[in-house]
Amino acid sequence: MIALVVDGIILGSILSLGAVSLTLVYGIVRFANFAHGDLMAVGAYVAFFLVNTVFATLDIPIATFGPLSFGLPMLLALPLAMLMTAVVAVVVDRLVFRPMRARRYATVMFVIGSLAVAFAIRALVFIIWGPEFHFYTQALRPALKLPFDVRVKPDQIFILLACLAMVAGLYLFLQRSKIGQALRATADNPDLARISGINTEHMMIWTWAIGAALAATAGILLGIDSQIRPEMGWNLLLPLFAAAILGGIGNPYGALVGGMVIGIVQQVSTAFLLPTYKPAVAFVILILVLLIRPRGLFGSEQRGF
Amino acid sequence: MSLLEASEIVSGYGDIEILHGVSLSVGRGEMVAVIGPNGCGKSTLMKTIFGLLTPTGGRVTFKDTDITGMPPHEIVCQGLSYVPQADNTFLSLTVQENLAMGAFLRPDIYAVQAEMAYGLFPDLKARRNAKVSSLSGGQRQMVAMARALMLEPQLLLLDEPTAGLAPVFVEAVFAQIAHVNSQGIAVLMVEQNARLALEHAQRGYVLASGENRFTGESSALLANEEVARLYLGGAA
Ligand SMILES: Nc1ncnc2c1ncn2[C@@H]1O[C@H](COP(=O)(O)OP(=O)(O)O)[C@@H](O)[C@H]1O
Ligand SMILES: [Mg+2]
Repeated sequence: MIALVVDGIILGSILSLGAVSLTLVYGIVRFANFAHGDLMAVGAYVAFFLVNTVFATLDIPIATFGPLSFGLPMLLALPLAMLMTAVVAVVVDRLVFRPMRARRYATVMFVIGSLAVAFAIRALVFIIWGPEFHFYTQALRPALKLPFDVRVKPDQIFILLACLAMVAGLYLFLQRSKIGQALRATADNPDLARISGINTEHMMIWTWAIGAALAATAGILLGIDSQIRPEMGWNLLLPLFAAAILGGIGNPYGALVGGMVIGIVQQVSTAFLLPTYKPAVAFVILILVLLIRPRGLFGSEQRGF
Repeated sequence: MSLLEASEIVSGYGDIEILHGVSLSVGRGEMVAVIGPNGCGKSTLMKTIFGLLTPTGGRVTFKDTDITGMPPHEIVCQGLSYVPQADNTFLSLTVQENLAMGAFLRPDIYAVQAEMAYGLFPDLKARRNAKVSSLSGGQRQMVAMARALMLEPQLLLLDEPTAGLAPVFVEAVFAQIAHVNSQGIAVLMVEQNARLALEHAQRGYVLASGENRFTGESSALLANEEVARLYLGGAA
């Protein structure tokens, strides 16, 4: 049981990072982005391409870091993949969503647009990398044996710390930096932000770039923990939304908690249910939250975070 | 020469036309009141001047620069600021962060302007790290005005600054507006407290159904029987 909780915390940290970025984007663009999971996949695949194709031809030392399954190539690939995924998201915004904003489309049109983007991204991933599974590395790493039958791979400790560091970094950015404050102001009251001299179109760019970079990180960490597949992000969409809504949609700090809760509940449920029911567990939580407390744990009537 | 000149403004929401050719002007350092019944288009006029709505007709110029259709974040660079009627603070931000957003375009003058704002509204200084959502209505209105003053505007647009305030605070807000105006900042003010507004302003405009109804010196409007009966709730 404790082992399942520990597993859940690892999964939960990835879900948290995904849900935090999903809800950050939601807080500013004001629609549910169904392409968010597929941005995670983009990040994972770009990193895969860099590590296994590009860097393999360069003289980069491939020794792994201590007990971890990866080394310098992955550490270099991470920021590059974040950047590339950010570029993808910003380009999609310019091509798809900005024209819709200019024409003041209804929210549902944006959601459908994001669904189309999700399908398009996944199809491209399929075409470029094929439908089969990939792994960043074939190397097997022994798990650390901890008390209470708990086994943790060193990679998983890295994943947990990386997720926490990313969310903490986002927190500091939003609270301390001028752009971060302007993002919060825009989420809170877009018209007043414009009146104050904030170019909200620039804020859109920042939002998509940061949201996609964090999504890419979540995707890469998921790939390190398990494997890379075209539908890896799409399959996470339900738990991501469940986490974001549980935490109060639009509230990144709530999504952090929401992600952890969903991750732990999903893993613990495998003690009673087949693992194939994991998405159903997220779905049930989602429905319960919507029925009992649609604002989520930390949501308020008020916008902004 | 006037500072702000709005001429023959036609504007509205989507297909619904609310303003059917409204004109007004504000001179340098002047205080001007806009009054009129609820729903006559006063707020729509403010939003249109500040670029939140794009007029389908007419022109807005500020210091001889055509600002018609300019986005709000560029209009604020020209030297005019705007306090909307509703939702005029960032509720989830602290008082200090609200002021910082007011100076978003000029971080260099933030410190000096924030001190000025705290001088004008001493109540805010003690609550500088409090979220605006935890403040009273009167304090929120001060935050809204302080934010708008951060960029040293030459013209301040105020949309119903005393709406929803208790009578004691209404007088205080008018005193603060008068103080701001005495520093040479022109004020264009929409007010429900029509009589009080005209008593403070030099000139006034009465709007009705999206059109100019009366225009003139405040004293003349206050003395006008028809204005008094229809818009000031009583005899002159
Ligand atoms: N966002 C909006 N969409 C559609 N109609 C609006 C909107 N805001 C105001 N109106 C309408 O425009 C008219 C003028 O409103 P407004 O300018 O707010 O009046 P005032 O400020 O003089 O009370 C009203 O009939 C109101 O119902
Ligand atoms: Mg109004």
